Amino acid sequence: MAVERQSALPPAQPSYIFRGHAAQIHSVQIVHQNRRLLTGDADGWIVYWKLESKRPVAVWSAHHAAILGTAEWGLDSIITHGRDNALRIWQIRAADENYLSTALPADGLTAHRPKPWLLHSLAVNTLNFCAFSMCHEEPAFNIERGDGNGLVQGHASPVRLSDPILVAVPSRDDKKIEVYRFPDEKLAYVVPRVQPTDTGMVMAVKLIQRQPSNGAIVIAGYEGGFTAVHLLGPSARSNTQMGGSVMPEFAQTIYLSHPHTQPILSIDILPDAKMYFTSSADAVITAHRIPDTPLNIPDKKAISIETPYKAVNTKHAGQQSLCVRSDGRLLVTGGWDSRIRVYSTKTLKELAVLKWHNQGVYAVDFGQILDRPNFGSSANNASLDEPLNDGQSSQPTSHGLQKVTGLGRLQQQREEQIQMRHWIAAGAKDGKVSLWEVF
Amino acid sequence: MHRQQTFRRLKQSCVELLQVVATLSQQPNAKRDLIQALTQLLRVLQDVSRSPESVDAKLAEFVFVPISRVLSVSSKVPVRALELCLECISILLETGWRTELSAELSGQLLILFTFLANPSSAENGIPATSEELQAGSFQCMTALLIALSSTSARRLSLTTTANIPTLGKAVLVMVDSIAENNSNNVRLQAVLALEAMINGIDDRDVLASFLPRMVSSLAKALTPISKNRANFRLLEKGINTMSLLLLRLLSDRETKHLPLQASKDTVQGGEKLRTTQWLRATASQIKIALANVLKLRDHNKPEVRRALLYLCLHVIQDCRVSLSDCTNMMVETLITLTGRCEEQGAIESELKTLLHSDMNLAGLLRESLHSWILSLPRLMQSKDDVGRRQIIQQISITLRLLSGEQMELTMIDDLLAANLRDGVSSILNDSKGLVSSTQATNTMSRLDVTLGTIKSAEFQPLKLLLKGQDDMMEEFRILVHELAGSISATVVVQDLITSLDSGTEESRLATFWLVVNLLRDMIKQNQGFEDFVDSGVPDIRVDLLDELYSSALAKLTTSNTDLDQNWQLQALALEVIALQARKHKLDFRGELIETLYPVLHLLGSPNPELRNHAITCLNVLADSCGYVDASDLVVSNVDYIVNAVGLKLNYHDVSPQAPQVLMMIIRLCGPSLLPFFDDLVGSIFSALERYHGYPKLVELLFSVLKGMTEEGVKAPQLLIPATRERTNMEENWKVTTVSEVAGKLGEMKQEAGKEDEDHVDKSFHHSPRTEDADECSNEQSALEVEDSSLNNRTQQTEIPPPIPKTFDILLRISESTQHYLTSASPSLRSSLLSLLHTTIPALARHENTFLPLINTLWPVLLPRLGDKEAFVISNALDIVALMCRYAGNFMKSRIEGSWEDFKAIYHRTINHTENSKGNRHKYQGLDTTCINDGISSSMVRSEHSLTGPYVDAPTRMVADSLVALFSTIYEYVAVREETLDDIIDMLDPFFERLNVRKALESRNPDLVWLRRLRKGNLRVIDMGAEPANIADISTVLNTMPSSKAHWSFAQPPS
Repeated sequence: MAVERQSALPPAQPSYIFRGHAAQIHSVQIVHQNRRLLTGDADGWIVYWKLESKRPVAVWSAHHAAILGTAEWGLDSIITHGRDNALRIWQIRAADENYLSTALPADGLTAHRPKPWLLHSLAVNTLNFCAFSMCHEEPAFNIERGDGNGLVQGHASPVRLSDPILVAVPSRDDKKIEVYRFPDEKLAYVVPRVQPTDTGMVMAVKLIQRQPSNGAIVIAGYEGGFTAVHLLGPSARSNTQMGGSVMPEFAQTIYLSHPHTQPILSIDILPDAKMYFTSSADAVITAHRIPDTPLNIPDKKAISIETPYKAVNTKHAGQQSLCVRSDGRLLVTGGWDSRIRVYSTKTLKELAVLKWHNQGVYAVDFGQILDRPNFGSSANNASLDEPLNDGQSSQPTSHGLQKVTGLGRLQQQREEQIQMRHWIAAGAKDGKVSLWEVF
Repeated sequence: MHRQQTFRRLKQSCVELLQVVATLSQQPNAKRDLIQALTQLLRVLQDVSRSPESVDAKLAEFVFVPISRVLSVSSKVPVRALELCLECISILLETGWRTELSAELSGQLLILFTFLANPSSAENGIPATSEELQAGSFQCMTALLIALSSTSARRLSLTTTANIPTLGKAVLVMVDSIAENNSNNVRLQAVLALEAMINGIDDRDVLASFLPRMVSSLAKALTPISKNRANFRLLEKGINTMSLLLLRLLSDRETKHLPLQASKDTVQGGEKLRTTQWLRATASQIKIALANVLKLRDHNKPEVRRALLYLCLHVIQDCRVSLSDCTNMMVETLITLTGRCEEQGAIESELKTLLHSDMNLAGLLRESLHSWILSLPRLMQSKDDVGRRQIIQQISITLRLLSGEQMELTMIDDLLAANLRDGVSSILNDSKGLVSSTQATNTMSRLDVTLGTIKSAEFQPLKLLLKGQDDMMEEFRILVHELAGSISATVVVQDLITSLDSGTEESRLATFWLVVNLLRDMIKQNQGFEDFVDSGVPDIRVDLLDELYSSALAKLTTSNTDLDQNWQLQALALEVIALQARKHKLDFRGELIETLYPVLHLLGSPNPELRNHAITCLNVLADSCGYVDASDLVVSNVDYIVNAVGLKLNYHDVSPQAPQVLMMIIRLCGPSLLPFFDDLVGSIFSALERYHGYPKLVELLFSVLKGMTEEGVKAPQLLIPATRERTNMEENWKVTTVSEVAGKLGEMKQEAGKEDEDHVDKSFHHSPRTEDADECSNEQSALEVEDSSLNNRTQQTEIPPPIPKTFDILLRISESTQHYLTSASPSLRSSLLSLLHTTIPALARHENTFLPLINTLWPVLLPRLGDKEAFVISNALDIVALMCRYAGNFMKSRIEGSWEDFKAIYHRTINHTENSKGNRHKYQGLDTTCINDGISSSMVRSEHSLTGPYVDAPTRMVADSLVALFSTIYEYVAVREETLDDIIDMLDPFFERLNVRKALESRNPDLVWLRRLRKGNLRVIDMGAEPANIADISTVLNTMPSSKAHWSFAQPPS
């Protein structure tokens, strides 16, 4: 249905183009409940943009080499992963934004730029260009976030920094995966090689907590076009609580498939962790069902290669980045052919093609779908929606938040509006990040 | 003493007069004597009366005796005598009789005056009458009545039963004169007399009996349509008299205690005619009379209007009950008059007090307001300008008055919004013609959108077609201003905002106009209050403004397509944005992301008014958001603008504004902005591809590119002293000295034995440029403090230096020109070439990219040498020269490859003209005065060959470029010797040009000298035939011995 409508419309235009990176964009992420955009480029620069004003609030050089991936941990820390073999966790609180430099990399180098407070730094293997993946160790309530971070739980239980997280990165043996636990920087799990076949090195990982079984799974995509699902044992947590020198546990492979002929480039998963999608250097996009966790963990027998649940040849090779929206209905890919494509997760049918960049798109991300901004401003909204004449009688006027008058209010309104929109951000080789509002 | 003297003087005159009167019938000259005597008496009287109290009642009586004699024979004396008598009496009345006048005498005098004033007396008493006589008698009457009414006792005597008939007669004469007399003076005096009479009569019943006549005659005089137009003094007095009359008879104070019925049992019996019944009957009559009088409200004399105003005020104030029927009418008149009166404030405050004291009055006012508003749209469609303006005024004054009262105005509010809109829209309708007329005016000067120097922070009101309409809008503005102060404003604005996007064009515009002005006034009026009080309650006005703002923004961003249609709407939208910015001050910065570009966009509008509006809006934005000025605003928010422009260009929006804005910001922000533009360049080129058939647009886009390049070459990385090339090249050319050639020959001999590939390699490698460049720049850096980046780059030539992004853009632009050099538009071709002209020096810094660029451009550049348009050829030649200059030997094979083309051009242009010139010169050679020496004559010749009458400008242009090219080739490119010889030959006529000579001398100064000398010799030998000139010439050519060959000592003159 959307396809027909789309064809009648003029080509979609981006809402904004973020200019300022001097090198290729390798990572984009919309964070902070659609209030901020985090972009990383091939020179190791991170720019933290404010979506409301479209201007940077913090710019710093996080790594000496290309950024591979970023993530948000709680409300005030940011994880960056660079090719200089490091995974770093930075602290950016709202107050910190004031002293950080906002001069963009393309404006030229300034002598000194303050960096945010570095909380953790972990040496990891980054030879295979594989970005890390992160999830909360505690299974989150009502996970809304599609990219498996599961960190946004609304106002009910605000995520605190101290909430432990798991981070999956490729191991020094680049066919294995290591899962670390933060903040204690301990190796929690090791995902061994997949036994029967040689899958090649790990190209993409995805870590997620599964709702019902209280277990985390690691989905991996390999150089040889293989993808596998590994189950992390739930018992690991108790081990860590005992503290000390507990050996990391080994994960159990529960699914293996060989859908691609080329290396897998990107993996993302539905929020309910029932199905995941892979894209690769070939033109195929596949959907895989994640098998239910077997009750009794089988012994290490070779696992058979299964066919994917669905595979579609899109005829556009090299869909570098794939992302599923937080409501699980759409997925977006950014390809080397410089197009951004939106697919339905149900049918894998192409719904829209977004064309702005002239060079390959390396990273895409969806903004979160928020029902209603639930951060204390609901009262404000209510009074706005009500007819004007009972402004005096409406209850929230005495509320503390109502003190916001004038354009403070206007700004708040704008920010809320922006949060409510359905964004897609895409970063490309030309160093620019386009922001789209679609579907 | 004094009195005695006075008496004596008067006595003399009186006696004289008596004598004359006595002999009146006998003497033939008596009439003249009488007049003389009377004049004498009058003079004495005037003299005497100058000192007060000098004439008392006794003296007056004494004087009156002879006068009465004259009057008694009035039928025989001339009119003039009567007039003089009256004048005397009037003096007497004012002096001696002022206080003491017997009732009897006064009665008689009144009869007398009445008789004299009556124009019909001429038939039965006096021989004739005159205006002066009548006026004089009325004057006397006035004086008499004033004297009589000075004490209450006398007043009583005036209305004794005996006097009533006399009074009646007098009144009759007065009113008749007022109504029918032809002379304004008489009428005026009659009115004055009537006024005195009204004042004098204490008995209301008597006055009441006269009332109908008085009123009707006054009304007759005051009705503007009467045949003989009354002058304004008369009108003023008449109105005053009328109000006096009404006050004295019909004011509420007087009529409060009137009996219900005519009482039979009163003492006088039946004479009492003032009853409520009477009052009712009278009031209705008065209403008719007043209705006529009120037509004077449009009178053009302020005095009259003021008198009328007071009449209205009195009626409203004092006759509220008795004349309640008239109040409505009076109120309307009052409002009309208030608007036009000078002392508006005073009257208004009076009116306000009135309103306070009487709720009914406010109700009345509201009713009339209602009807006015109802009739507003209808009136607005009429052509009656005065009427239109008046009704607007009325509404606004009434609104102002009522806003003070806590009146329930809901009924009116509903109407107001709709009718105001209709009213304004019908005015706008009239000025429809304007929209198209200003469009065509100036489409010029659109290319350069700049932030003007206009610092205005106030919007000019939108101009309409006709002056009258502007005035009308001004009235509306006042009305809106009044409305803004009233409580109804919010309701009206709400109404209007909901209908903002419906209706016809005009009504939408009208709605928008009204809303904008209303809101602005509302906010302005409440500013002070809100600064101090934060009333927690969300302000409705703010919400309304927000609503309006979002709709204005939508207008600005979407209506770009039908731009010409509704520029006024856009202008109003700009005003809204400015309003919002003013309201929110610094906080508005966040909004700039959406608002700034649309505003800038309108700077490129073809409509000058809209442009002005946009500039003003920018100024307001800058001011409100705390920027220094508009360009600071633009520079600080350039990222938003770049984004908007980029999206516009990417969308293939063909409106010229986006490139124009781009151009402006490039100029404002300089080269630091260019790194953000790389995708824009792509967009521009793709737009060029799509719209290459539209020369204007293409030219605009190219001018943007040109702007980019011009700013781009200013980038610090590309700003390198130009001296490097020159020194470099000069060193190069030392190679061609004889010893060098010999060395080279040896070298070549050696190399001849080697293989071909080696040879090529070697010679290519041998090109000494890079080494030289290094040396040179190192030297330079040692000497002068140089840019560190430059230093780095030149030192590490092995690794290609990091190429700045700006350079990349310049390169891309330059490369892309190859596709457009074949364009059909000559001006585009030329502007492309001039674009290259800008970029080449900058691009030449990076040889690795510059040389390939030449390689790409050469094949398309060459055909330009055969272009149809001379200026394109000239430009192309310039570019080739530039390439030669910067690429040096790299150009060798190319120049030699197309050498024949250059020669062809030479033959087409210079040689051709040279030949035709040459003949003429030979002829001139015989002319002795023309030939002075070799140098100057050859100069003359070469100048002539190019500037003479046979050479058109295009040819000259090409020739100039060609000469420049040849000298550049000679100087910089290591072409073959044959080619060099060709060049020397071809440049021969231009040796005296400084740049040519310099270029040639840089390589081979001796050759130049030789050539010049040869030419000089030839000339001198020619001269030899003329012995008279030899001496002269030899002195001039002191450095050039002509007869002997001192070649070895000769130096080039420079």
